[in-house]
Amino acid sequence: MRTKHEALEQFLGDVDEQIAYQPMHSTINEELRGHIEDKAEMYMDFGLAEEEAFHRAVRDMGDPSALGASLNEKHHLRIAKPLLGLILTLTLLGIVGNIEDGGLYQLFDSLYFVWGIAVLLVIMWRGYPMLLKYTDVILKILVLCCLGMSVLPLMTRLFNGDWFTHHFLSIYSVSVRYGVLQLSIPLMAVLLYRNRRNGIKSICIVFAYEALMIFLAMATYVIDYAYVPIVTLLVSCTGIIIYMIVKEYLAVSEIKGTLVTILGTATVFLLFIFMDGSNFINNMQMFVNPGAKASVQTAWDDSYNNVLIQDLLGKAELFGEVQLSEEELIRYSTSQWYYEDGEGNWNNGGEGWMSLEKYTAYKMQFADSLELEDILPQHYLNNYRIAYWILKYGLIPALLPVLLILATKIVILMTAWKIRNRLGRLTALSGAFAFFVQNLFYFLGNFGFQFGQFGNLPFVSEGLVSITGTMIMAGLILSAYRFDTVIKEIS
Amino acid sequence: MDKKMMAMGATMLVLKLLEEEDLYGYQIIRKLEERSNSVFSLKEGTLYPILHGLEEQDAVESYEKTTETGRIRKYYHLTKKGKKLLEEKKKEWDAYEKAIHDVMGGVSFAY
Repeated sequence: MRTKHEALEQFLGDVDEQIAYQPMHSTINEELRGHIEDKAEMYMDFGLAEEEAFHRAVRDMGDPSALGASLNEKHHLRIAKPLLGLILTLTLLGIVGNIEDGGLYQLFDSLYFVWGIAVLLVIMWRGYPMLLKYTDVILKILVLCCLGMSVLPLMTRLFNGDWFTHHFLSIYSVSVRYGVLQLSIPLMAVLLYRNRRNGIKSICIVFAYEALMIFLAMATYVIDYAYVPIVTLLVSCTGIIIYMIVKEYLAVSEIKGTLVTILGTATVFLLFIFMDGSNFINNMQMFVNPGAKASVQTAWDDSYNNVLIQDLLGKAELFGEVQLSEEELIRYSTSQWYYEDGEGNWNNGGEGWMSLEKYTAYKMQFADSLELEDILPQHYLNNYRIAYWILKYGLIPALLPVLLILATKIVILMTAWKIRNRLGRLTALSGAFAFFVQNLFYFLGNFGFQFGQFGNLPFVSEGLVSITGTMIMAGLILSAYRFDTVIKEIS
Repeated sequence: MDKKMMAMGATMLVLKLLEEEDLYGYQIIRKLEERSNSVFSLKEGTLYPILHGLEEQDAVESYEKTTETGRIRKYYHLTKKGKKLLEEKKKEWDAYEKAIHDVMGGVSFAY
């Protein structure tokens, strides 16, 4: 006859065999072991010997395989297939768009997307538990990255670094900062949740982090590139805080918490405006009223791009490519349509480093075989995916990818909502908020309302750093969903 | 009784017991037997999947307590969502009971 120990362990082992997610074994075993011990104790109270009592208690538990299989149904890892499918479809759209831009020359850039898919799958596989385990370490790395990316350009300036080095390092730091700011969002969600019992203090930590990021971003020459990620960080974090207040996760009253959040967001935003000064005002003018600023700039100016894209979109067809005569193509290519025929005022009437005549003459060299792609804003097709689809294929066909993009964002939100674990849902929601803000600014830019420098269109228009950040965030959402039924809520 | 109604009944009874106090698995089985004079005897193989399913639905929350002898017990606590679920289950059960009564209880006459 087996000993009581053997009978118990064999029963638990048989239950475990049916439960696919191994880390759940110990939790389930503990509960069942306690139950068997309690029941054996009851039998002993009725006068049975210990061995017999244990054997009966184990037998009363029923078939271990059936019990294990039933428990496995409640604790298996899940895959958010609709979301994963949509992300992969959009990524494919990104690769097609990339190749469409520049044929095989762009094939190398398409490797970014392949890298992105690899990142997505790895993060989906283990990302969420890793985020929970190494939150503090990741936060330190992100702050150090931002610090480094701000200090390097400053050093070159202080030690008489030449213009190129200074600008090169600034631009290089911009990309890294973009990724750091993206990843700060889910990280802030975890940090806020872990410190939720500290109420107001935990909210203030988030605002302090935002202020630090803004301060570090100001140390570089090309602050405009940080506009979209900074605003994405601000809006997403505010969204997370408000959600936590409404759900009563934070140890603070609804009124007090909301007031502090509004005040904190406004303060950080004002700090951002104050530190960036006149640059911010110029950018806002370009964003809200691009025509006014474009009139004093050149064809290289981003506000000129805004005016150009708005004008071209006004000519879009319902189906098919926008119809432009040869003459119109030339006028658009040389920017004469605006600076001679329209309201534009090249260099505010001055010569600048290149006159309109010289610029026109330069562009006329290519006037023989002009196509739509040649007149679009400075060939930044990566930034104008949606506008390009509309102008190239017509408004109705362009609706298809746009609807696909919007559907993905809705499915992201729905997936986040399905996560029952509070921290898991919060992490996923933070990513969903970030994607919504990034999309909003990209869409606005495509209709001629560019805010700062162009950001990314998640999964579709990406660079190496941004796609890494995007896929990590998407992977975290998928991962939080995947581990939802097996990771216990942190109390 | 069909399986669906049995499962619904068992879930409802578990929720009802948890409405009164936080309990661990073994206690739930014992309480149910005591309260029903041993008419209802919930099997372990039925109880634990129900409890874990309710936890997955956020209808119950669990926490651990260690006894004086060092045994760790997992207690279940009914949440707001669980209270709503109990109300729904009661309504479903009442409708089922009424249907049985209507069929088995004879004919009602209109005057």
